[in-house]
Amino acid sequence: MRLIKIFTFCILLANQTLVILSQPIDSAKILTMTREEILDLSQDDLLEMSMENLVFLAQKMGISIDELLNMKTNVASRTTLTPRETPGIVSFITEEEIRFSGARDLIDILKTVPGFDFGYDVQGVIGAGLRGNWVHEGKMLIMIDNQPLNDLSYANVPFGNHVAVDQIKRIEIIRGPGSVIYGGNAELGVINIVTRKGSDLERVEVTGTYGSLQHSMGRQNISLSSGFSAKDWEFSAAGFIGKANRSDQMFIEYIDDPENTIDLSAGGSDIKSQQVNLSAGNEDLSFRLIYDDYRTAYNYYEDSVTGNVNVINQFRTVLGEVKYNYEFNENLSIIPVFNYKYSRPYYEEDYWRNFQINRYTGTVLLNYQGDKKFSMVTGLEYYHDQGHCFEDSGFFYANGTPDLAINNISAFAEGILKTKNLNLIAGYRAEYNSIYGWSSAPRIGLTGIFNKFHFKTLFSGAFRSPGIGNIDVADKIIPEESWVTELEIGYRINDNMFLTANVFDIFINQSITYFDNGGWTPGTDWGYINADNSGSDGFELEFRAKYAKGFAALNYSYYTQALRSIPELYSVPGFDNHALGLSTNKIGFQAGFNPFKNIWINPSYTFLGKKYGYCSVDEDFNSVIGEFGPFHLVNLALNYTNLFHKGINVSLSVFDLLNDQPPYIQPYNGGFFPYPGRSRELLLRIMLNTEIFSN
Amino acid sequence: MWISKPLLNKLLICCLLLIPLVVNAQDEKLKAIFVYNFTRYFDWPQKPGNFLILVMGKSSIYSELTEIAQKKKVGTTTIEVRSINTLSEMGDCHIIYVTSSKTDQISSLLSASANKNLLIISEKEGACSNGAGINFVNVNGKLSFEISRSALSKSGLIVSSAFYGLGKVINE
Repeated sequence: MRLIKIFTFCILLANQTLVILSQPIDSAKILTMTREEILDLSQDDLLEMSMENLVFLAQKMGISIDELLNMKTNVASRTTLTPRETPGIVSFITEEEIRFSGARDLIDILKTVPGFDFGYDVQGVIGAGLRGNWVHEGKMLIMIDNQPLNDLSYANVPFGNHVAVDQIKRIEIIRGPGSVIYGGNAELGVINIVTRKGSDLERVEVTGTYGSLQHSMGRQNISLSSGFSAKDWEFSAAGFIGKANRSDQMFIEYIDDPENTIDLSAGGSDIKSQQVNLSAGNEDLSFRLIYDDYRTAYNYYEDSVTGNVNVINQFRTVLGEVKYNYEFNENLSIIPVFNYKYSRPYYEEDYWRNFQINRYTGTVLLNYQGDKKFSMVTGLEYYHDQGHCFEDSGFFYANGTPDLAINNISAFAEGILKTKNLNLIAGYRAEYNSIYGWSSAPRIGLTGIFNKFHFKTLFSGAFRSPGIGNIDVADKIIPEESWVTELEIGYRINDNMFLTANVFDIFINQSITYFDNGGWTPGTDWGYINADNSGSDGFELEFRAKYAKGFAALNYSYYTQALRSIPELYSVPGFDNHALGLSTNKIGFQAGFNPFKNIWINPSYTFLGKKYGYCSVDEDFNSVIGEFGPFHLVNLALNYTNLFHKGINVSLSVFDLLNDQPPYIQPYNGGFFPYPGRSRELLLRIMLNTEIFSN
Repeated sequence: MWISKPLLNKLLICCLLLIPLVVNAQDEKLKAIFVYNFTRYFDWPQKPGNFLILVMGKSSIYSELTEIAQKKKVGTTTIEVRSINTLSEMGDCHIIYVTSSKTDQISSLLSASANKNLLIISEKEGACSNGAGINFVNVNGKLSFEISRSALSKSGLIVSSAFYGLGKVINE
């Protein structure tokens, strides 16, 4: 009965949204005017216009799907292409969609994208799953302004109040491999979070966010963005400090110890984030520096004190880049890039084996954009990783010393041959690593646009490089390899609506897997090995509509693991379709409409099908699996721009209206009970910018 | 729980149901401005009294046109806007705006307005084939209008040739 009610509600919501979106427009736009200026036009202004201008304005004001489809991207190829041409299954999320959705963090944003799901790892860390695979384990590259955020130990990125969503201009996502261009962490997916440049801002902006869960504070964030341009230079500076609670529910930590419960509403699931992002650059030379500090609290039962101990787990990352674009001529440019990365993941005070890794990377790219028919990007990249255990008694298991170094050199090339309707893409990356030897990734693809239709056929090799954290506790380990086949067709229904469908097959050869046979010797009794093959198959459907008065996106995604043999660690006995902790069926819906000049109303809905996770033990202390869900996440955001005065923007949102509280299930058999979800959260966000001082 | 779930659901649904009405009201603003602008392209015959625009059926375009009438004239003639519900209320007007719910009345309207030099404007797909001279349509989310050359010819109104370049001309 409840399900029927929820579906009725959602259908009503979808119908209403589409009814609204299909309404004719009420205002106009001319080429030289911004949207705000057009919306400011009075009836008197319009009455003074010539008929020709009115007709022009009426035609211009209708916002079409082109706004999305013509958004140029180079995330999938480093050659600037539109989403319909680019050799990847891509998703774009715009600033407008992010801001008006009221999204609290990246989890909210990615939950509306096909294929994404989230699970609990260890030590208070939430990670991502994609297309039925636990990509948190170094299989997905996550970048901020093209700077890789994955830690240099296990290549993890913890999610949850980590990135300031109000600073994002757009998010580019490849829901497939990107190893040819990006190397060993882009095995099954790439996310690039693009923040606003100086010219996008031209002001100072302060955003304060407060969220309240049912039983505790949800989050308190403050974010500052500033940017300006002078001559041909652009400068930006952004900062973010955040504090949040991951949950406010009761948490049974270990599945074999159900009596040890922790009330997280009283603390113990805190997240603290600090981030600074500075940039300066012109068309040729650019600099960027990012500081990221993320702390997540967790509890463990300490026998010596016969009680729970709260521990802070810290990830600290510093990213720096200097890049120069030297143009030989209008077709050929050479781009030297120097990157520095400092990574100190899973740091815990008083732990005896904390370590840090410094990475120095030099890259030279040769970019040939010959004519409209052919382009090619080739590159040489070298990096040196210097791992160091900085506690007095600490050492790496791999070599028994406090230092461990890795050298890695790679060469890659990708060319695109364009004809009137078809693009042929071919690329290859070869990489040599001083620890584990050679890796390679070929890619070939054909994309085509025929009027309203487009198609993509992509066959990609990819690999996942083991990080220092994997190498340290492995007897012998090599990169796991993936072979991914994807087919996409798309149909542009009209200027405002777009439909895509894709099928995929992912085969992972010798997946890097954690093992523990109960002994104590690292690498022999526990650690990482190249285990069985794994992978998934599935399909994704996506519909998008965009109008002057609003937008809507509806998608469905499905995966199955039944066609692949899955390592026991990730499998659900008796349910071959499912991977542990990740829903096979998912519906994502997001809409936004602008009924009044200054008001945006954004509903969103995520359906997560049944999940399976370990949640108890039997009499013989064998782990017992349980069923969770399905879950219905309904959110609603109300945004008021220029409230009382220009430059004051307010957003009020409710997340998880139905209070379904989907838990974060561990996507492998690691002995942890699912981490409890958050309760319904009421969120207030106030964004102030220096336009307040204008008349 | 700070608000009960059934109450919350009902409130949300009520709010969402109201939104299309608001959006529609805003759409009519631009249509009204177009209607006023159309008057510039016609050579209107002399008729006694004000320049009369009738709105047949309920629509917020009536209030929009009324607002324009307070500010603008057609030539030197004051604009008067009236709302009617049936053909029997129709006087000797210059323009009749037929709302979408009254589109089926256009054929009767044509019989009643023969030789009266009347411009019929409608807002429903296919209304030009029923006899409307101008018809507002929504093409892929963008406001546009169709012009029926044959209907305008039958109305007896003299139309500037420039007008045909502004909309989609049908019934060639």
